[in-house]
Amino acid sequence: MDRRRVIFFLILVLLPLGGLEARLAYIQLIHPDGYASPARRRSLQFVTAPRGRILDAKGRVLARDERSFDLWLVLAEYEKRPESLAPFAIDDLDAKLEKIYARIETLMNRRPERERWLIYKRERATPYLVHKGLTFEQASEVETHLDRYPGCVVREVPRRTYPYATTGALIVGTLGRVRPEEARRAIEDAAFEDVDEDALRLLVARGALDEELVGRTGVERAAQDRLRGRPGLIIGERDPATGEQSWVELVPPRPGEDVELTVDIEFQKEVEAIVASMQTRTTAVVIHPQTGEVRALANDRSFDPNHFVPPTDVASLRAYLDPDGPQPLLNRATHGAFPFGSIFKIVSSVAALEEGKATPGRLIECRGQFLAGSNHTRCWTVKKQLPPHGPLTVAGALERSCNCYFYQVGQELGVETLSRWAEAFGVGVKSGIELGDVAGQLPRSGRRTTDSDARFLAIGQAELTVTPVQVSRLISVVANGGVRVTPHVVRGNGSNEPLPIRKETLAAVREGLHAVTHGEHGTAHTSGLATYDVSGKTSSAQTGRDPVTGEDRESHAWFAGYTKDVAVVVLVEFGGGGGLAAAPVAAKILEKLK
Amino acid sequence: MILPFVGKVNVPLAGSALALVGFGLYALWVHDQGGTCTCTFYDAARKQFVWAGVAAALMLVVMLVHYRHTRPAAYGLYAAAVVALGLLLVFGRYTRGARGWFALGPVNVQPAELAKIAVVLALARWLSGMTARDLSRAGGLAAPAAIAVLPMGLILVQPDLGNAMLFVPVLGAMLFVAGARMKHLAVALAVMLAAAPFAYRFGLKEYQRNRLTSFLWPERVPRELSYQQTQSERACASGGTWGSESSGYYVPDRHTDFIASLIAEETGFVGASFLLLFFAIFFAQAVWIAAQTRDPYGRLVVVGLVAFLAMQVFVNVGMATGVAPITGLTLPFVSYGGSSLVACFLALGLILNVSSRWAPGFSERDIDAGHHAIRDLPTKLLAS
Repeated sequence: MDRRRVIFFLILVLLPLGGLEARLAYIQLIHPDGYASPARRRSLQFVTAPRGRILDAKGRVLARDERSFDLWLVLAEYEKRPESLAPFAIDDLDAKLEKIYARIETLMNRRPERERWLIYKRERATPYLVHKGLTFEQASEVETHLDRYPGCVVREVPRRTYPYATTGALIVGTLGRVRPEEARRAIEDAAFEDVDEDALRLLVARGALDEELVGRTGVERAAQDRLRGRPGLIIGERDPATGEQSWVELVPPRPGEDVELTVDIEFQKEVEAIVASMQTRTTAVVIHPQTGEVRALANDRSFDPNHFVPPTDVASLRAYLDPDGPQPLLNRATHGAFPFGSIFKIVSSVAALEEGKATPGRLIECRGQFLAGSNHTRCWTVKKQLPPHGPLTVAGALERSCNCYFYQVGQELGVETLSRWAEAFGVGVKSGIELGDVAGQLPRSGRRTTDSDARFLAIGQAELTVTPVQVSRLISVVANGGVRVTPHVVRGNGSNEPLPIRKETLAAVREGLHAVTHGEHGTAHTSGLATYDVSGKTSSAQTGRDPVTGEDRESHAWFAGYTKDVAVVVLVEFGGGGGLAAAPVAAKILEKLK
Repeated sequence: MILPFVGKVNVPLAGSALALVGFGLYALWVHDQGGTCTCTFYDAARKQFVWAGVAAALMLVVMLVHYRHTRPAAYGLYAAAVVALGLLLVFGRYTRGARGWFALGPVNVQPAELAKIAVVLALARWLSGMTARDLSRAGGLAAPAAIAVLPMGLILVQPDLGNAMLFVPVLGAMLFVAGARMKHLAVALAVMLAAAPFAYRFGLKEYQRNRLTSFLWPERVPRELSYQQTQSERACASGGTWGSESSGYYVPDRHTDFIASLIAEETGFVGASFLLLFFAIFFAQAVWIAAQTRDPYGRLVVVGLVAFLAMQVFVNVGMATGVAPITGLTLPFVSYGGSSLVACFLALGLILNVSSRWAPGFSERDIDAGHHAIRDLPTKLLAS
């Protein structure tokens, strides 16, 4: 019994081995062609697809592809008369040729010895890109006198240009060279039908995609997938008898889509001019409070995205990247996290009213200082030797930016509740803007927090940093009646989320913010904003001492305000008081909108 | 020291195993030279050579001791293997989403490879200790099933589906040879087949499902998922009859899991057939040893080890040629990797051990249950 079963087991083991043998015979002997790929002996070349345009809100073109000419060399031909290219004065021609030779060598070394010569011959008969941006004259010279320029091939390719140059550059963004893995991914995404993957890989190994550009910052990056399109392919077949190459097939490139922005470039230009006229670093964000559409987003310095398109302007790029320079590439509106200050009192007010810690009519008296146990903290009036604010409603406290009022409600609310409301307003969290942004910092529960933390958070001082875009989100909630918007620059990208805030709460807060610009005690009533139907809040965020000189620095001056159809945020770094430094900038911006 | 059993080494068995190792070394060596891939290793063949030496030395150690001494130790080894697999889930090194390796100084150890042997020993001990009546009842099969399922479950959660699944046919083969009733085995098989769709839906991870789907319905899944297998098939096809220089097809994991495609490409149909032939000789010899020995423990050990090795060969060569789904199973004796090689050589050592200790005698069961005359016979034989 046992032994019979063992023998049977042997048969069970040997049968599948026989099956595998049959399978090997099938794929190696009987039907090998079914597995070899159909396009093996073909050669391929890419055709760059034109990128989509970037348009502003009124259809003006901010980025487009222009006709440009690339020079490719077939080495075997070119070497017959290398002096022919001398009149073109191409930079680093030798270095580029050097690179191509190195590349061919790499390709050769991957193969066994006896194939190398074939590879060498094949690659020297294949055009390699040596120069981008021939002038039209040079291109037509080569094209019309092919005999004078042996081995030269001119290809027309799109070249990215930005007609408005520095204006709106932070939004439009920049291009950069593709990385090898991105190129590979792009090829895989393109999913060419019936094209041999190994041929594509060889094409990439030759460096055919090295000069491709992809979005690196701004909308160019955010909308990369829409703008990019799909490269085309020229498929060539080599006649084995004559060795001649004929181009037999073409997969046409599919151009990228146009992308329409929410920004009006002319308004953006004016805002940039206003911001650039300031003495210290200044940032402004203007959005539509109902939808979150960004209408302008400006830093005081900008850069020219044209400099990033090869042939790149190396000197300019170096200046942009200089760590001691103005660093125009850093978008301070999205990637600058700054101490915040009193504008946060809007969040504290809403939290207090919604959590039942205050009613619109509840009075809290400001005596100039706030006693809590053994330590006491002061209202800002003490430093300026003004009388204390006395009893205040929430609207009055917002108007005068009274610290004592908010020390009291902050202490009652606690850090956890406050930070929960802050997050609801988009403070301390990424805003979702396509340009990318940082989250800033928000003290959260989960670590030990004290009443003192809560008091300081309530006036926006604790460990709290925000980006101007976050502030635009915050002020929009008040402006649009309790909806948190997602700031966005590409039309149609927005998404809104209603917050659970009652009408009475908003009415009380709005009353306070209206009084900030119009009331006689308002912190911004001298700024010239009273002539516009604007409500808002100022902030003077303490910045501490200069780490180098040890002197007290000026505060960061903030203003966040709204009218019926815009929300404006201005940040003047080290500008001093929000009402004095930032609010007038907002007034100038609103002037342009009249 | 002259090994007492040196004359009894089963030469075809050992020879075919060495030939397989040679195949692996050759493939790795050519692979290193050719460089169709840009892997980071350049001396895989040399490393593998060293590992083969280490593994062979360990094998000789295993052969020195009579294999029956492993019987009392079987449960201990089994317990150690289970503990190691358990610890692996906590301390193991994460590679490609699975905890399958221990990092012990310069070497990475894959306990699953060694656990297979421990499980075979434990199963063999349990089954050889069972009476024929127990074996013929369904309830008697529960304990051996439990022995196999525990380590299988631990490997399954690493997760390493391929290695875990190996335990099922091994358990089946050992029960079959031990003498379980066909009816019970058939019912168990039917239950597993019925449960398979549920396991597919609820038990598998997304990538595991994808591998299966891309194997069963290649046109239904995105191309990059079936890419590895397609490339492997193409590489095999380009080998033709006599083999070819590297064709430039890029097959990921070529030197470990897909080494069969490397051999099929470099040595062609002829070489690949020899590869399978050596496996056939190996298995035939091993099973022949199992048939010859009269000790049920030894027989079960050999059958269990052969079942493990054979399943790995089927699945591994099958996936390289496109008739089995992709799993992380190595090709015994051939694939690059120390743990795999050591485990294979330990298995070989055990099988050779059983073969060389063969003596005309009586099985333990005969002795346990037998007449005192039979029981005394070995003593008399030894005395004479």
